[in-house]
Amino acid sequence: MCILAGSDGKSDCFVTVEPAETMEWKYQGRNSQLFATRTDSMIQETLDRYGSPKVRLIVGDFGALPFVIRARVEVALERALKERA
Amino acid sequence: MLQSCPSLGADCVILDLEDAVAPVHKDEARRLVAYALRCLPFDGVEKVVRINDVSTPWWELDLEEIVPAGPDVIRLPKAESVENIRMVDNRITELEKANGLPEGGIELHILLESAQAVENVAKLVRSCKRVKGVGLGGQDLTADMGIRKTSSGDELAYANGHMILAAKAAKIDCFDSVYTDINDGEGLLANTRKAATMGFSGKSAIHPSQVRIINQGFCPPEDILSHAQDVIAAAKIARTEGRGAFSVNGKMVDGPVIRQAMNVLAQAGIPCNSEEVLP
Repeated sequence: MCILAGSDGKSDCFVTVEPAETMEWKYQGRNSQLFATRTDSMIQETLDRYGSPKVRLIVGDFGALPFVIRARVEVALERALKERA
Repeated sequence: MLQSCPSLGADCVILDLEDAVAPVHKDEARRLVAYALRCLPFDGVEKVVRINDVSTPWWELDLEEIVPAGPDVIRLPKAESVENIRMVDNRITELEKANGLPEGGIELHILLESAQAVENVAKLVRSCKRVKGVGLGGQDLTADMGIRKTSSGDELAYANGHMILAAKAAKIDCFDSVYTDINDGEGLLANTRKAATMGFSGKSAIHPSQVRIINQGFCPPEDILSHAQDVIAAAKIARTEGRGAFSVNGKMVDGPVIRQAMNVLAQAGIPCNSEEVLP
């Protein structure tokens, strides 16, 4: 099951989470090259905080501020883990 | 818009978890608001968060997530009873203590959205020390009363007056509700001047373009301000001469009129020392 948080609206991002064999993520968007290092680090830290679950997480960035991405990733993970439980 | 709110001229910004957020998105909104409170520079603009009302399953989750993020004010919609307001007050206090925040530091503003709430306003505004502001939820209130909300607002005249009196007696702020026509600047200005005359402390805006007009509406008109300054100047002289009543610009002035003039100066942000002017 694919869990979704966020939207493709201006200054927002969407986050999808689905079960996977390993923990993996992908960050994409118009400025993803520019912010890849920072965002990768944030996603890694967030996944670690949530116990490094085996999920495939995709972030589609439409100009979101870092805290927006973080909030959306957290909620998507919480929804996914709740669904799994 | 949140990023630019310090430059818009508003005294407060309201982040909404209630009507603006569909039930399926409540968790996301809560998290976003908490992060926004922590991460964005508000530069002195008061941070107000409207939580969900106590009849919903979300109000406690809202507080648990928002209080640690340090809002200045929690706005409680559909405030109906002293018991409910105290329940929210107690929960905020617990969370302030648990998070090392000053107890009582977060204010509570209550919204009256039913006929019963308006009738009980004097008790509601005194429910707890944390209540520092009150306003009407006009749409819900008119729906509860079975009447239509109009642009003139005449149908809520009694409710507004009753609430303002209770707020003044309790020495708390009272806020006028939004003017929904964002393209009618003249109407907004007239509506705001009426609110200021009635005694409202401020007015909510529904769009950034309304902020400048609302601020203008709460400034006294030039002729009123000029007369008030004349009254204060004459009052200082009268006080030194031991006169309790005198005339200014052909109008009789005594203690209550001097206090009204002081209120006008206060609205314009001009300080006035009561000991220099009152008989």
